[in-house]
Amino acid sequence: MSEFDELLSSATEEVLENMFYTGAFGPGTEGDGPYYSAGVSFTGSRNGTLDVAAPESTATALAAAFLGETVESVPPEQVPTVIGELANVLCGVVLGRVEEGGHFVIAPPQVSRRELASLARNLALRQVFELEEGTLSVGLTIDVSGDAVSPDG
Amino acid sequence: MAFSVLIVDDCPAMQTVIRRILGISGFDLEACYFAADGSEALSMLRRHTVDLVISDVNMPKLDGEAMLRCLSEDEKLRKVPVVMVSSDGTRSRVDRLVGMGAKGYIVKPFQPAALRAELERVLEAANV
Repeated sequence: MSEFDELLSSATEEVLENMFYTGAFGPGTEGDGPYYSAGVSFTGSRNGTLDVAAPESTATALAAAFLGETVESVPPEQVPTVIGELANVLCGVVLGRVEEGGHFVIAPPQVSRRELASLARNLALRQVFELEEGTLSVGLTIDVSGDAVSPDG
Repeated sequence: MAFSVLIVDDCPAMQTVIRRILGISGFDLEACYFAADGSEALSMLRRHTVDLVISDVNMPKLDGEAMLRCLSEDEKLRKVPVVMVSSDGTRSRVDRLVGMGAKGYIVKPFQPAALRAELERVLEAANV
C-alpha cells in the first residue's frame, strides 16, 4: 500500500467515525444502481481533485447518521448536500496530512446523481470501502508540478 | 444566559447539524439565524442583534475570510465573536483567521463535544 493509499484510507476512516458514527471494515465492491457522487477540486500548495460516490441507499443512510435522523425521516433534498459535505471535509483532512503547513482553496462540491457506469473514474487513486451502510468509493488525484501522483506514489 | 446565534454555512445539512448540537448541548438559545454565505450573514447581522457567529470558511459569493474582514471594519459589528468551522485545518489558514479576529476555530470533522467546548470557551471570554 502506497503512502497516499494509507493516507486516503485513514482520512476516510476518521471522517466516517467523527461525522457519520460509522466505520469502514474492509475493501468493498461497487454494485449497480443510482449513485450520489460529489467532487471537489483544490488549488494552492498542491492542485487536484477528490471525489466520493455512494449508492443512493448508502448515501441516505450516511445522511441520516450525519443529521441525527432515521433513514425514513431524512429529507431527500439533504442527501446530496451531505455527500457534498463528506467530500469537502475529507478533502480538508487529506490536504492537511499531505502538507500540514500548506495553503489550499477547496472549491464548493459538485454533486450529481447517476448510474455507476457513468461515474468518472479517471482519478489516479481510488479505494472502495465496505461500510455497514453499503459501499463508499473515494478517488484522489494530486498534481505535483503538473504530474498526477499515481497510486504507487 | 440566553443568547442569539447566527450560523453561516453554504451546506444546509451542516447548518442543521450545528443547530442540533447547540440544542443537545443545552445552550439557552434566544434566537438562531441562518445564512448561506458571508454576504447574507452581513445582511442578517445588520438586521438582527446577534451574540455569536458560527461560520464556515469556504463559501460562494463572500467567503468566511472576507466576511471576517468586513466585520472587523464595521464599528458596530466588530465586537461580535466569530467561531470559524472549517475543513481547512492547515496552520497557515488557522493562524490567518485568528489573526483577523476569529475568536475560535473548529476543524471538521469534529465531535459535538468539541464544538460545545469551543463555544463555551468563546462565550465565557466574551461575557455572553
